[in-house]
Amino acid sequence: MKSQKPILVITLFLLLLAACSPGGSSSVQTSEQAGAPDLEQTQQAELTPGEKPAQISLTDANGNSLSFEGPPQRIVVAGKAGQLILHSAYMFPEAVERFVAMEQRKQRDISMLPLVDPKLDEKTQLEKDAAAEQIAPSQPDAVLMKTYMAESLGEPLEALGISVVYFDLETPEQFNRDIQVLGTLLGNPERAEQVLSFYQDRLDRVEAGLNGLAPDERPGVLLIQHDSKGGEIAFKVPPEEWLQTMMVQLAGGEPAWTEAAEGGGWTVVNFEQIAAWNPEKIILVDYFSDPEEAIAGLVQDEKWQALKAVQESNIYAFPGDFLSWDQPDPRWILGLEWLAKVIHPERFDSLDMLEELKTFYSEMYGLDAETVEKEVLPLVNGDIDL
Amino acid sequence: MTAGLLLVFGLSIFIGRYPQPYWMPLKLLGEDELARQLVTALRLPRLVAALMLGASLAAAGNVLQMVFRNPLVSPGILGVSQGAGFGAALAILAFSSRGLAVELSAFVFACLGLALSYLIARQLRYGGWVLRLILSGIAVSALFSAGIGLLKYLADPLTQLPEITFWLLGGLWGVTWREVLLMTPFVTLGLLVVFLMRWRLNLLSLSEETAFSLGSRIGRERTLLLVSAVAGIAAVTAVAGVIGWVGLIIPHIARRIFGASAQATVPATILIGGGFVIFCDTIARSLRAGEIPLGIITSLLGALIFILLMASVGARWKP
Repeated sequence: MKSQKPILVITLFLLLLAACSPGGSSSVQTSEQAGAPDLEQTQQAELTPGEKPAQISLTDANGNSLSFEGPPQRIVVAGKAGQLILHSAYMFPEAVERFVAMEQRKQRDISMLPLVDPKLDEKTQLEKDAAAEQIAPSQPDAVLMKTYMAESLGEPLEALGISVVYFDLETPEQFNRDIQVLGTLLGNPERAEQVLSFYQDRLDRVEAGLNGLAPDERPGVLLIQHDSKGGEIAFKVPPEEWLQTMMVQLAGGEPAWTEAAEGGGWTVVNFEQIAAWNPEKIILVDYFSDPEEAIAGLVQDEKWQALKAVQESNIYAFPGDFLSWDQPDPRWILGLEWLAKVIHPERFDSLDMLEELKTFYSEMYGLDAETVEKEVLPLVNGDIDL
Repeated sequence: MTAGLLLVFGLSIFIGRYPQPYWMPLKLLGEDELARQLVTALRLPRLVAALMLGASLAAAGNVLQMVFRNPLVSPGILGVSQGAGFGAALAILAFSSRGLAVELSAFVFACLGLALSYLIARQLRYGGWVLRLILSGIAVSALFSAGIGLLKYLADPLTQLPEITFWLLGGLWGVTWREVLLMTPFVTLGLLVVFLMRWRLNLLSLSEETAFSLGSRIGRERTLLLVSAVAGIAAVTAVAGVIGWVGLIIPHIARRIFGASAQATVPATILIGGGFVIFCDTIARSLRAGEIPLGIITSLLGALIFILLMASVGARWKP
């Protein structure tokens, strides 16, 4: 009998667990009992003027088809790289009212969101790597996240009956698709068209500037990440299918690193390999320190002085403001224009990056010139003439 | 053996990615300033670091296997390497840069890892000594590996630490003469002590009563040998991350060739270990345009050699 007692206890425990298994309702009740938002917060926010509460259907980046009875009123952004989704979403005015919680991960010290969301302080700031249990109390109608978060975060949320919409935003084609999804989700497809038209204009301008460019006129370009974590310097190149590689190609350059770009992420390359490539232009990215400082240190090194790009002063720091412009963030269009100007200065001589910057923040985020001058321009770093 | 090491070292100077994959013609050193700089500023310090790394890990593995009379222990299995990695990561976070503090912190936590493995093994009450030490070593290794992960993901908001892949798979891509100079005192002293006391290792590998009756001051000598071995491991791990299999496999190879006596196996492990890691690092930095983490190559080759050793006829461990 003594030996059977533990078995009995374990069996009863398992039965209890089975009775409490997630079916949606009990988990939601638990979250409600655990200090859920006040009643007024659970009431639907008023629809923005002109919005029609008709059923909406969309297909997200993971190929999932979702339907909502009208545009979701309580939206949460969570998971890694959520900042990139937030920056895309805040190009729509509806984001201010609809977004109720978010996980902010700043790449540099300052976030852009206070400039574009006057109600940011009222919103729930999720902890880093917030799990489904931390997100569910916000009672979201939809949670937005990157596609690679599906297994770790999306599926647990879907098990709670919460709709999850996945985004990529990693390439120009995905950006087009996902902006349209955001437009549908936020009930403003017209705004999505405006945004895409803005981007297409700029892409067309770059393409027109490169008109007639022969293959042998494409200079060899090396885009490397300078990583100085832990006091040890490493140089890394992006994979072939990433936005950085595509941007160099779109800007009229020939990526020099494709033979090393076979991994799923940044690949470390040593200086010997950089010397073997000896590209005509070197573009240096640094996500956590000042890339101009990194370049200043490198050009003092005798080894680097032997490189063609350094001898001809063709080594550049990729610019950025709140974050570097080379990433799958709406600022990639600024990064592309800058790259085109750097790689083919003679073809883009009239391109005024200051004007492009102001126009971008004005048309995409509704910031006036004074705000851009005061809040954005001081943050801009990199090799850019403003 | 020494000639073999010199040959591997010498050939590796000319193997790399410049000016084209794999081979640099000798005459280029006379014609190309950049080639000279690459050799003197990058390849040479990296080769010296690989030599020290392999020699330290292999010698330490030999010491651990003989002191603990256990053929399956190594710095990676007893939590020494992982402890050193944890100590280095902690110091980098605390001081925001690399320097002597990192080496010292790595040393302290490497010693702690070894001590914990030993003390926990003594507390276990089932299985033989071989099994108990392995089990406790695995647990302590996992503890410090998890500690590195925690430091990286929870306590590193400024992303000061290198990526986890560096710590768990290791690499020498960032090594310059500065890192070599930092490692040299610890590695040299550690290897010197182990080399000079190699014949005492034979005594320590016997039972305590036998060793004592032969004049060995067991406690003192054991401690000195272990601390010397750990000093070398700590120094190299702080620079190169955790590199596995070298400390386990090389002592076995040395014993297969030279027998079980430490008089011969200690210098053999130093030379073979140094040559092995130079060989692996040359592959890691030359095979592809992108660097392959060194630990992947040492694990791949080390595991293959281990399988061959274990499967070969007549393989026996003689304590």
